Amino acid sequence: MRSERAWYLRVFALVCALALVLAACGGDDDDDGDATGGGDDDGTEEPTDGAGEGGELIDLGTFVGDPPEFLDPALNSTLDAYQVINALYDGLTEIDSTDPANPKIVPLVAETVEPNEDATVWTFTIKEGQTFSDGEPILPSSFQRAWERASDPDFAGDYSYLFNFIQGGAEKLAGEAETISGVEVDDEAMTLTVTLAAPYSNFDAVAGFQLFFPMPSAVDDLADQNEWDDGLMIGNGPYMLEAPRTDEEIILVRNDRWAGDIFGNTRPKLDRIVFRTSADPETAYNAFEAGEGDTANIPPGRVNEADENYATTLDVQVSGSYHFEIKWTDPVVGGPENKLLRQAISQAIDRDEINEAVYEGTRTTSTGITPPGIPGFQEGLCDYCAYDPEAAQAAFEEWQAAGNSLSEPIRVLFNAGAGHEDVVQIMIDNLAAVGIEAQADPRSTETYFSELADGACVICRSGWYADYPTYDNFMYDLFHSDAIGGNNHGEYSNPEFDELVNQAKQETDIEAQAELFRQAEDILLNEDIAVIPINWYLGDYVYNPEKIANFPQTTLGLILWEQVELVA
Amino acid sequence: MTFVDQPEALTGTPTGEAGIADVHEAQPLGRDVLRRFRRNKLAMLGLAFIVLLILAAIFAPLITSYDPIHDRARGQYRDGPSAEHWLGTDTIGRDVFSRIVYGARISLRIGILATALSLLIGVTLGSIAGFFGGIIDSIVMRITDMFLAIPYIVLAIAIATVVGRGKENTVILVLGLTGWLAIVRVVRATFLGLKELEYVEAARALGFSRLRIMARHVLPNALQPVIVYGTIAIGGVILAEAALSFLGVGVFDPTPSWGLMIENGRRDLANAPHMLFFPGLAVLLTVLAFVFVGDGLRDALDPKLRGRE
Amino acid sequence: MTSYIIRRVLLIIPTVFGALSFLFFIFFALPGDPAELIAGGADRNPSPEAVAQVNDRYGLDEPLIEQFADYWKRTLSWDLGESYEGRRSVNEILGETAPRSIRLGIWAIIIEIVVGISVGLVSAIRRYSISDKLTTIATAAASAIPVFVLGYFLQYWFAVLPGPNKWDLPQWAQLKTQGRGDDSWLLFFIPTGDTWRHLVLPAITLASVSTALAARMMRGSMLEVLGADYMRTARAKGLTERQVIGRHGVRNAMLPVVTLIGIDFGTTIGASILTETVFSWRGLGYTIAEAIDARDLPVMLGLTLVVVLAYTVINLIVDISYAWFDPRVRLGGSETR
Repeated sequence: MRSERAWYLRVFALVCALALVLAACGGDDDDDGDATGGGDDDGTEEPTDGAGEGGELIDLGTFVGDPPEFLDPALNSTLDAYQVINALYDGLTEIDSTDPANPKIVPLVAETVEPNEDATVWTFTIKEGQTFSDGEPILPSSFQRAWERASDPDFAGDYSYLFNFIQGGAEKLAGEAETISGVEVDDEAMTLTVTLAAPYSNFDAVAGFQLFFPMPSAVDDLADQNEWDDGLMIGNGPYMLEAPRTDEEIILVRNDRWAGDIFGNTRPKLDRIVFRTSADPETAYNAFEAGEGDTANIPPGRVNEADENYATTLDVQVSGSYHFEIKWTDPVVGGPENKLLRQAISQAIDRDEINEAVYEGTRTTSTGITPPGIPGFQEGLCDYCAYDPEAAQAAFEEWQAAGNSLSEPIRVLFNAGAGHEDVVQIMIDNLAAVGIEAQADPRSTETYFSELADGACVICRSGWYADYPTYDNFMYDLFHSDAIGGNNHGEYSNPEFDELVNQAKQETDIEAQAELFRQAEDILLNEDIAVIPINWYLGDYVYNPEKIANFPQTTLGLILWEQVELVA
Repeated sequence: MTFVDQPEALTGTPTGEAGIADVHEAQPLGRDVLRRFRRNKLAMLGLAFIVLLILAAIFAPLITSYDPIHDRARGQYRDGPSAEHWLGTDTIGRDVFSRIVYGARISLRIGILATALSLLIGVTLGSIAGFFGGIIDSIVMRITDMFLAIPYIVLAIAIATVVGRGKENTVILVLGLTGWLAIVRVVRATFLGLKELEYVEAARALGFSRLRIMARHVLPNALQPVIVYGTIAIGGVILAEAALSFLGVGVFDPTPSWGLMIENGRRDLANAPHMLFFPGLAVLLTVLAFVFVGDGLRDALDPKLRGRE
Repeated sequence: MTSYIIRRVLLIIPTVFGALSFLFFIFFALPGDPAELIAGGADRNPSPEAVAQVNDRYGLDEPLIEQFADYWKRTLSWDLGESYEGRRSVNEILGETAPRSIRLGIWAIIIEIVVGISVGLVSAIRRYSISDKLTTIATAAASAIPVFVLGYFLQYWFAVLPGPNKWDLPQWAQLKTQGRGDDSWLLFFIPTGDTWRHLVLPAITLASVSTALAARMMRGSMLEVLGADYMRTARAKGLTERQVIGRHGVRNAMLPVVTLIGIDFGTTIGASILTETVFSWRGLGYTIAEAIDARDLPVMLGLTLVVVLAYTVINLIVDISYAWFDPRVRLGGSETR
């Protein structure tokens, strides 16, 4: 009996020791996968001719949490689905971000893009000989068809407000017109002429957005346009759907009829791409580490780990802003009378600490709203975004001296379970240090933006990835009065700001336009302090450098799937 | 969640024929119970741990040197155990040890209150069902069956979403409202079983009212498995709270509940395992402690289960 | 006996009806206008036209009672409706997800039976020995670890570490963390090809808690049996301990455990949400959880209905077979239910 007992004890102790050892040394092997940061990520590619071709890639990083709601470009409003849509379709124009600080709009499906003098009429000539993946020729009417479809009031998606830019678009959306009057096509001459509702010099950038992608005649046969998404969508991009998508997978295969990209490449490298949906970022990353996928999203807190062991797209400065909106109409926090309070709040926040603690120092602390990579960007626009607790306290006391007071803690809203808790906690601590009482108000992620749309914001977490690299995508879409009820959750409204933005949109001279936008942002940030910028986004993909030789992510966050290449 | 549904498994009271407990008539004397309990080493260990835990929770400010929510060590994020931070720091530099100690308050509070709520509802319904029998019994059993049939998680998420996610009281309510199901059956089974016993018949023959019989003789008997179940259930509730946090319907940050710490910690398993390990260990030890005490109670209260001596 | 069976079968109806109705009304008590949530999806706010469209399509602006009646009318003809997201028929979703959960459940039960009963048996026979104490601690620990934590650990130790990026063990030693592989099955539940590697970890995780409980239950009941009078008689008759245990002990001890396992099967399918989420095993549990989040009422109700039915029917079978074995009930004894 005695020896038996000892034997059991020894085995038990051994197992426990083994378990502890395994748990402890799980994280620090770096003798695999050499982290030489993989390939280029800015799209500089000379035309290649089939070298390094072939293979299949399994992606676990795009759909983390939910399968995409829509793959139909007319309806989609999320970046993840856009990754796939961008591989399925090509638009009139494309963004060349070879130089990340100076993105250029280049014609893609269009041969030429010509605005008239005051940017009210845009003429696109479509290249000859292009076809959809089923062989149907791409004509100017392919675009008109798609635009009429996407502006149908019964079918319209979240981005349909963009049709307001085009003359007759607003009427079409309101159901008062059958077609968009400002669009004219000539399939013989291969021209597409668009007359805008107001002068807008960046329309060429907008024209390349997913909402304006072309559609084949197959959509005309559909009884219900919603079915397009459920079936085998036909497009003109480098890849096409192998089969209708399921909740678990979206499978793309090479489109042999692809016309090529703006660099002259005519053949996508990969044969096949499988997009898998995972339950959450950690399980996806686990699966990636176990070799069940070739790419993944970097979960919060594992940035340095991913960077050390694999290759990442962390060096891509994605044009996106992470900020907190403020309710302009809130009696305590909003309006010109409470500017000092907002100043105190903004200066009390230690943004660098947030970056260090939550993002392991990888993001860039904001000095304004509009991020680098947007033409016209200027560093340091914000006067009150630097950490200055003394100034914050002084401002707060001055605000109180004017007879104001906080009867209850200021509520900071955010969507729970998405990694913002720590940011908000640091903010609240920072505010408490200068005497401002605030409390966290977490909301359910599913209903968060709906609640904001209903006016729930006091100080609310928000973020925005650029849809296309223009200044107005930030200034107009987020802070113009037109955007109230849309993305302007704080209901900010300043006629002077609106006027500057309107003017800027019409200005055709690039320098003058940039100057006008900067003046508008100055009002937003310094005169009104209507928003609290925190930091700017970075590339967020991790990939296996032993399998993948090239994995470019653009400044819009999109992966150029046609250029992704496997190690030979 | 079999913890919830099968109290028989935990209390070791096999239910004989569908629903009726095999109850033994002889009642052990109080002193005997204590003596038997004390001899059970595991149970005593568990009890000691629980007492320690409660003391730590009450005197938390005395044994910790950091505030669990607001004290952050700048630059020391996700650090392992060190001299200043005995169990390391978390994602934004808070001291893990302090959070675990204050977290004990929350876990114990949730565990005890939710279990108390479950027991209250369960014992009441179970005695009513067992006492009155007939239609009332059927109704109670139908309601119980109805709730039992719905997957526990579905019920929990639904209730949490209606009442409002993220608050501690929500969690207590959710766990309390889903935990009574198990105890109803046990209590009812005991009532039904005891109703048939001879000495109850004898008491009736002597003219005592049914109510008095039930209260004086049956209820104390039924309370035995209830006490055992309740003790073990506290552990189950603490576990369930962790599961609710995993699903996003538990308490929200920055409350230092163990369940939330585990859920947040599992993300950093590979590079900062201490963030998961220590709260996980706390849960494990606490649940074990309650289970051992519950086991010990059961063994002490019912000598026949100990087999040959 | 027959009257007992008939009554039990009839009692299923109010149970199922009550459970589903309760869920139905909870859905409408949830915050947020369902039509808005469905029309808008997670991120943005939908236009009034889109909301009106959804209301039209699903009748969400009709009075609650009407919707309720409608719902039951359709369900009774087994038309479980359409998912709000993607408009797939719920019957179809059910057909896809139910077999996955059932297969996982079957294997979890197999593990529970084999491991649970044998461990419980052994520890009862060697009562108070070291192995018994260890087993007590091990089973208690197994039921005290949150399921998702166990799953995560298993994933790390058995899939990530042996995988191509770390230790790079041979293929057969690398288990998988996600999905179902080829999804090829023999005789409905035996995995072939690549599938078994995806099955092992989730099955063990799902089985962990119930196996621990089954082991403890077996031990408790076995101890009870070992001390019973008829066992003493058997020993007095001169049978060896082994014969005593084998012939009388085990069979009697197993009865309550069998009950437990039977009930477990019913609950496992529904309660597998945590395991299914961790391993991306898209069965009923996973899909129901997703549906609640997305306020996808038809999917949530439809799948839950099946789970509720499965649970009640299995319970019924267990109860009836139990009653069959108990002569008190079989021969029409006193009113027990």
